[in-house]
Amino acid sequence: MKSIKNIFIAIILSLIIYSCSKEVVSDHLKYQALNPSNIDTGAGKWKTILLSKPDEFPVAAPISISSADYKLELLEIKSWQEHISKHEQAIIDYWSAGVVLRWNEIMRELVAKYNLPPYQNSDGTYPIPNAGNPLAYPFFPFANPPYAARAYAYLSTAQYDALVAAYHYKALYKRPRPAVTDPTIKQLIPATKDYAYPCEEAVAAGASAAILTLMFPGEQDFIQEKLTECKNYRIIAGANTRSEVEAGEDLGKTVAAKFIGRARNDRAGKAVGTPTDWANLVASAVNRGETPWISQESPARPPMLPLFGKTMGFLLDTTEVALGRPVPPPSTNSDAFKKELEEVLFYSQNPTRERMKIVHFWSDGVATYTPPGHWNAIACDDFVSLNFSEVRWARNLALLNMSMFDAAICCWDAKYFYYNPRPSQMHSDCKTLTGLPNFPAYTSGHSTFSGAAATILAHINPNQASEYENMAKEASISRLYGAIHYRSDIEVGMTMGNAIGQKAVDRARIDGAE
Amino acid sequence: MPLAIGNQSNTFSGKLMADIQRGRWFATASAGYTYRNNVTIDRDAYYTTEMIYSNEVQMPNLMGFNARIGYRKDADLIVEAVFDQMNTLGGFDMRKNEMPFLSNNMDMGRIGLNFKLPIPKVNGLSLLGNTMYTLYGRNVGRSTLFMTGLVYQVEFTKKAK
Repeated sequence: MKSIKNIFIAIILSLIIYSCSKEVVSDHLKYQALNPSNIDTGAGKWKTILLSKPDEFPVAAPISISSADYKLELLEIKSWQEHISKHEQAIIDYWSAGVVLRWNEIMRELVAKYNLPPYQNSDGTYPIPNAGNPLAYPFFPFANPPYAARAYAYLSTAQYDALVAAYHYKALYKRPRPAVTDPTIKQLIPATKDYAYPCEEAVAAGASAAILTLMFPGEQDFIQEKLTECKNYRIIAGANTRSEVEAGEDLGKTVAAKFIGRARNDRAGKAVGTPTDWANLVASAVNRGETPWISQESPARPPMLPLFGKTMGFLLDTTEVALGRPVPPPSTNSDAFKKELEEVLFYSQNPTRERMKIVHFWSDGVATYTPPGHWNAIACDDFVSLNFSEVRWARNLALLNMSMFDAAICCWDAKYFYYNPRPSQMHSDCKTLTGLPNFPAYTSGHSTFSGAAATILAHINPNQASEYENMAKEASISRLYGAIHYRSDIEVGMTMGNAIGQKAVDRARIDGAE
Repeated sequence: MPLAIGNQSNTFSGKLMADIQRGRWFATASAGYTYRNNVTIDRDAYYTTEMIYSNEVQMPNLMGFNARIGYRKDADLIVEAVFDQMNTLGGFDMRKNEMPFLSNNMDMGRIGLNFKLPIPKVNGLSLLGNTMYTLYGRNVGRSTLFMTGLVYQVEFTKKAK
């Protein structure tokens, strides 16, 4: 009897121990501290995106290292380092992986959090989120794929221009690191032999916090908390003094203000359209003799951001968007259309485990970081192993996100120019195998985003070119497997995306970084 | 989803039960604990209350409680009232207009009635019935359940009388 009792206790104990190990640790928390293979000292001369020149905004000379104030700042570092708590060490471990990387992740998290379509009103209409009152339902923003593509683009471009400016001033002022001016200070992260003023990490953080606040105005407390953490990380780690960090934050915020000014006037704010705009889209398709797209949500929801195609992108202007608009999809009355619809029907009725795996992996729907976020995650995971400097991180993510923002614009332009119905609207037997997006079919957003992303990523990281191409193809076909897109949507979307990605490659070749 | 099949979680359950009977009246109470293993999904990241970069989902364990009182005559006639409660120990709440997720925090309490009545004149045939009403819940749909059925018992061995 006693042995049975012992066995019973042993089982219970092992279960308790086993259940403690259930906690899932995110892969991105396992990244090592960034130790750039090339510190890109000449980045102050790289081609900026919005800034007219790297020193468009002045940064005052730093206080002298022989001044009493500077000595006080060194004392601050020493007092932090006297006792580093577990929490402070965790902050160092987290941020030292790279500040551009971490702010990109923070934005992905906020996109996922805010990527929820508003619930309908009792009269069957839908409320529209209001930036002036972000915390009242429906929360602002509804971070859908076009909104997210734009948010990622402003984050990365502002980080990049701010860092180019920072590198300009670093080279100008040649301020040594605290551990160099005072050898009793330990630098707790990999030591780079570059300059300390202004603190580039604080530059990136200041710019990021400003853009995030614009895009997610209900998250100011959270953003501020991250900003403070990021700034303190530099001081606790002994890598920068307080005034180096403050000057960096100021520069980042000043540069970001220029991007915010652009964002306020880039026409995205008007992309929701009006009931008249929505009616005109239907009328235009009917006039062309086509079946117009109809929302299949219940109650019918107005189409997602129908005027987003008019937004000002970074790589193409509005005229180029219209000129580059793809040829029309097969007419809804044509045999070519019926053939494509039959193919969708086949995938709808014959799902396999292998195909469903692909559909799920790339679904990137409600409450996710969206397809552009997925490509940011893919890119960042690869960039971590490439040991880029902060400015090169920002440059590469800016190229990626500019191309996906412009991909969103071109794709949305085509969607609302043609207003093509989804397969499930055209055939009642066509059951969708993934979330049905509430906008027209042609061209596929996944394909356009992925085509653009794979093209620019192949240029940045040629060793992985074929992987990126395969991932893009898989993301693209997942929408046909999921029975929500025709073959022409995904093929034309991919071609269009590749062409937009090529625009980013053209820029990359002349921006001074290669 | 604790109430759905096919979430691919391996589970391990333990249950304690007490039963008292006075004549043909009885009362039963049971409590159970289910340990659920983590599951993997076809994705490389997902959002709960934070972004998780992994294909592994931490599954909350389950606790259940069940109480019944009723009338029982042999094995043929049973009428009982049931209270059933289930709680996940942890998990997160669905937000407005969000899709359900495997590791949602799901609680529910239900009351119901079960009966098994012998059908006269046909030996071995009885009528089954069950109804359950959801009293309260969290991240679960509110449903009322009705079930009826017929059972015919085939005897292969003669009862020793």
